[in-house]
Amino acid sequence: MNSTAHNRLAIVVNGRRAHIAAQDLAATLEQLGYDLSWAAVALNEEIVRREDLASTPVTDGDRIEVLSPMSGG
Amino acid sequence: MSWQLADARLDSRFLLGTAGYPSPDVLCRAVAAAGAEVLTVSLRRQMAGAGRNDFFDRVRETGCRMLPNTAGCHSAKEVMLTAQMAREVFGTHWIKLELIGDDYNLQPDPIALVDAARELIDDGFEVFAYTTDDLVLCTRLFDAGCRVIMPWASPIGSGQGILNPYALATLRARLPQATLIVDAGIGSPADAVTAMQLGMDGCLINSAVAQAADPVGMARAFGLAIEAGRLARESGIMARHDSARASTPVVGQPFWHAS
Repeated sequence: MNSTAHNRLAIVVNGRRAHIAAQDLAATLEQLGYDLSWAAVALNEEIVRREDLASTPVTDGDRIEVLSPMSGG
Repeated sequence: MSWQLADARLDSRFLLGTAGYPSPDVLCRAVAAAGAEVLTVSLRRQMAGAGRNDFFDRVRETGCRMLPNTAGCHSAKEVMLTAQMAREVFGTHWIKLELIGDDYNLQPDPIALVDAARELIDDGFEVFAYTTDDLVLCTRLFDAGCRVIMPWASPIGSGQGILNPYALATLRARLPQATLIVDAGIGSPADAVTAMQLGMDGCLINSAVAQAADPVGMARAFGLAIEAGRLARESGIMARHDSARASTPVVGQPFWHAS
């Protein structure tokens, strides 16, 4: 996956492609409209703890899952 | 009378699923009517820009313990990641292990299930293992460290009730130290009574309540049924006989019965 412009990263968040400026994971997700107050985040199929979100960089090609509580049986 | 479920002391033996209710309000009233203290929940992709999570706010207000599931997982890797993310969000080490082997009947993958349970237990989880009613599989799960084993009555959401009562009775007899909770397939309160009379420690029910015409009424019915079934077992159910045995005394029968 290639970035489309200098310093823009191409990533996938919850199955949807996004193009963002290089920044940390917390800032990226907040910019994209995710509420991290009751959410868990996985980066390339590895969990990223809440306390590490702001210090985890996002790189080109990253696949991110943002999961929140939902009903279940 | 209270009982021990893993590391929790509870009054109710009714575990309730939270999926498929007409509204969050009906769900919360059903929880209250059931007297449930444990609710199953899941993790799903958040929609960007969706705002506050009303569902989670409402279930937290019930004060019930959350039991997150790994619904939809088909591999141990998926299970482990989902469980870790659930622990992060819900703040509990309890996890309902679902590792699906067939997308039609949603039965667990018995080959991968035990290894996945072991991995979760090694990572500090209290595993509530959703399983078939196979004795050997349940024994392997117990030996791997699963204190709570949840055999199905019949396929998830099918409402068919208990298809193999012999199997559940066998699990009770052969795994006396395990906490056994029937999960999946219960359709009516009569099924819950049967499950408890067979010796199950509790019932986990979702579709039979959520899809009832009156989920709140049905939640109360199931609560009473689970209590009745448990009390019946503890009270000693009479033995079955092949022939009739008159319950009214023969001594002192009136003269018109004389030959």
